[in-house]
Amino acid sequence: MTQNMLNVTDLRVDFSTPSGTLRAVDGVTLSLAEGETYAIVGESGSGKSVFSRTLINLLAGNGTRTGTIEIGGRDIDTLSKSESKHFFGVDVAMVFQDPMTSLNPVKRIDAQLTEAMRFHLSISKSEAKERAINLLKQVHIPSPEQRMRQYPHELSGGMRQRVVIAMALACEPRLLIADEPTTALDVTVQKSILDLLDELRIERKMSMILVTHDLGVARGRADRVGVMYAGRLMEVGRTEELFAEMRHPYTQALLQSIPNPAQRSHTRLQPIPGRPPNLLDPPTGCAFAARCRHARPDCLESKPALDDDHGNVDGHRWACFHPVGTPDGDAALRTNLDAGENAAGLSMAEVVGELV
Amino acid sequence: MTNVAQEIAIESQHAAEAQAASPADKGGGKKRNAVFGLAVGWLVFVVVLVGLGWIFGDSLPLLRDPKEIQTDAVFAGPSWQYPFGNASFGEDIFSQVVAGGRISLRIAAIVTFLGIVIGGGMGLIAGYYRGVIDSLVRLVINVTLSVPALLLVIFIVTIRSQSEKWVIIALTLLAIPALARIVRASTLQVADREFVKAAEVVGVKRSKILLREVLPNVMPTLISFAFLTTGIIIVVESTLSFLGLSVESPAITWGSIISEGRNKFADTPHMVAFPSLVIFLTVLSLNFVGDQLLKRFDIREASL
Amino acid sequence: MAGSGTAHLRTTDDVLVRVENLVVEFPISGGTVHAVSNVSFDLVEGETLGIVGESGCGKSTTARAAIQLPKPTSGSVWFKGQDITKLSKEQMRKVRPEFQMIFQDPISSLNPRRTVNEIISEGLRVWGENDSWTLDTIDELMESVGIDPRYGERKPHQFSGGQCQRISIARALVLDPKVIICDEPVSALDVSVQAQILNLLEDMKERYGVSLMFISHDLSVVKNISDRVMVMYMGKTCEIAGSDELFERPTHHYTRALMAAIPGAEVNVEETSLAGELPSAIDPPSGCRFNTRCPAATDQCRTEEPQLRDVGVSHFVACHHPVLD
Repeated sequence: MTQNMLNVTDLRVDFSTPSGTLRAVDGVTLSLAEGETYAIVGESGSGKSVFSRTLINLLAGNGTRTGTIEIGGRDIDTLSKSESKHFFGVDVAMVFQDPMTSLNPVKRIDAQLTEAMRFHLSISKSEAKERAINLLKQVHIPSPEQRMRQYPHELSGGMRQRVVIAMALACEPRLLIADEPTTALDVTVQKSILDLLDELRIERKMSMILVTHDLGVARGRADRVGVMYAGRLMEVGRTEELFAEMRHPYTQALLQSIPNPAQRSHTRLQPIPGRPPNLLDPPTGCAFAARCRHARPDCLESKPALDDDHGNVDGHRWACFHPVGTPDGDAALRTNLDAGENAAGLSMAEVVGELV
Repeated sequence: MTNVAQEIAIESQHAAEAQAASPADKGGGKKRNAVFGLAVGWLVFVVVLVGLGWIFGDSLPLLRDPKEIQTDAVFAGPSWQYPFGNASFGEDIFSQVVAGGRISLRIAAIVTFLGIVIGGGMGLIAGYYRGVIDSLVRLVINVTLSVPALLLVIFIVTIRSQSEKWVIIALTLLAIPALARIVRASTLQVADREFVKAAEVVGVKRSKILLREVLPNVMPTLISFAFLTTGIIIVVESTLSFLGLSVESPAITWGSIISEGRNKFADTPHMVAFPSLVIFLTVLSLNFVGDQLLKRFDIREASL
Repeated sequence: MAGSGTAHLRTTDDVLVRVENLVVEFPISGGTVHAVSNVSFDLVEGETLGIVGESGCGKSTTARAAIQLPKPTSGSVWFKGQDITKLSKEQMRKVRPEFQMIFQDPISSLNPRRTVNEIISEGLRVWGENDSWTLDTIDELMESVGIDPRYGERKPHQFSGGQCQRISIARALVLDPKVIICDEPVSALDVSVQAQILNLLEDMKERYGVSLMFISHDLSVVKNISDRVMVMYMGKTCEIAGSDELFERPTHHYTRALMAAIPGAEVNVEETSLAGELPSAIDPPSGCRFNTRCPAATDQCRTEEPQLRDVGVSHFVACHHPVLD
């Protein structure tokens, strides 16, 4: 088996805030094979952004982490200071969400592109410029020589994001982390950017972590998907498998709350009642239990682990005591429906006037 | 906000909601709060002391007639009897400072008030109604601010007279465009926000929108800049006074005390030092209070 | 793409609002921005009209211009037998209670210095109490949108985005309007909260008999909540049809591109990627404004602007070569 591009083992990230310690990432373990795209899906507060930034060593000052991160076989904790300067941005690179704030508005495009290259690769100015033009061509920006002399605000949102991608690829990373790369863009532009990422990934044999809140994006673009909630992975697996047979109630609830264009108009959506837990004072037991239609008393007592003993295909795992589509899970749902509420006291009726 | 900040902010918000308290930046606040307290304390102290001096005059302990000549203490340094030392004819500098504060502070207060009302009003109307009114106001602001401030004031005061009234008018002419510009900028920002549009959609009259939706949200900026302006006016007035261009003697202002002590600075620095110190601390406090108020209001709005 | 025409306007008795040939242009340094160019549509009582398009298409501007905020450059808006574009500012103000609005950013659409009670009851204080709501029944209104009346004295920053949007909905409903314009009301909300608000809007529509104009860039959301959908591009109308009809038979190339771009969805459109970039709104392409990016553009498209024409049951498209099967 080829070496994994990324190995994360039991990653925990805490932030010390004036109101106490906030655990943003609570024990995430995952691996990414070479050339694979792994989508991390979650809503705001799920910890997915903190996770992705931790991978590229962009942890805020008040954050601490435990656990190991191995990129391309190297444990990033073992990197010396000089090594890490030329590791992040080179072996692993990141594409951020908002192209307007990830580009320096007062610097021309050529300066921004060549800057990183010259720092990491020690090449001459003219060589960097050549490479930059080539990169712009690879990301399909027309008239690259002209664009080089322009400022970010002179480019459209889609083009700016292409420049950001070009910058990320400048030093030929083997792992690309894309944190909501298309959220700020129009849907047709979104498609072209995601197409571009796919194309480049295959061409350069890169691996990619795609962080998104959009299940549709994950479904359409990833080899494997990990659904995150309250800092933990709730369900992971190969994309087709996961969407065909979802097991975790959260994944199911998420899918049911999104309008599906294949359904008829005015199809009633199923919102997820309640609100995400307070990470400053997390609940004992499963973080989703308070909002889960399958929640039974054991869910309130201990956290289910993302384990592997379901005899399933290709690493499809879920962290749930009463998963969807299993006899146990069905029984739990039945019991709750009969009682009118789940083990945490959440009413099972779809409440219109739900305070969230 | 970045995604990370967003995630943390959501959590803080949830925690705060549980306490029905508003999220506030309390980090590092203790030190800042202490200094804030000191600044406010100093300002209150100065105002109260000057006020009491005005009402009760020399009957207060430590205060005596600022003009009283003490031939035996000419140019004397600070002592228990005369905490700030004595001036050229032995006058008690401490009493002079307290007395001088009357004019200096009064001028600053009136000028700031007029500046807020006239300048602030101009800025508000220009920023909200836009169009011709805005162009006009902008023209006035730009023209007045292009004229070298000090020269303008000196000119007015020389042409007219060095009475308190004209000093106030001259300084107000300085304050108005500065405040108008700030208020206009703030108004433009506020007027652009969707709740103002929402009020229009509801059908509220524009004048009412200006007063009930826009103004209350511009007020914080206005108030904090008022504090800053007061500080500036004190400095400007003192400078004028120092140059002999403010209210004429026998009136005493902080600047006039410094002016008097200027020649003898090398030997008897106390004449310049103490009034300068008072001005310095007062303006510093005003700046700090204004700055903090701005931050606090901004945080409240930024958390939205 | 983008075309003009009024063939699609209906003439039945229950037409509430009829917008004809709306034009919104505004001058900037360097030219005039043609934000909305000859857009027409109507809204039938009890209907939800979805207006969908990407940034720069003019969907928001269209809706706001329809309620004179600001006044359109030209065009007419017929409501209750009169053209409201011809009204004076004060006359228009009196019509405002009939047309309310919900905005995209839930928190900034509420005055941070007012309490929720004040915000919601503002309309009643301006216009007096109406048949549906009085100052005493505000609590009931709050409950029906899912806000606990006990929190009425709190300020907006103490509520979440979803709750703020509910407050906005209550504010809009208090004036008993005929039409509520929803300008991207769920775009700034989390996915699971979106569903709550969409359901709420459907419920409110049924309960209080309002008609909705729902503006969004998200096709899936628009399909879910609308009865009829209008697709816009660069200030022009591409296609207008019933929700289900539009998704089953998209005939305009831009509509098809939009649908193909929905991430991960199973839609029956072949993959088409749009070429090029959005042209400048100051100098839009001649003929069909979509011709610079359309895979099926011909010379006719570059010179002649297509008019909206009938291609099915209440289904109109402005295209010289629509995909008909």
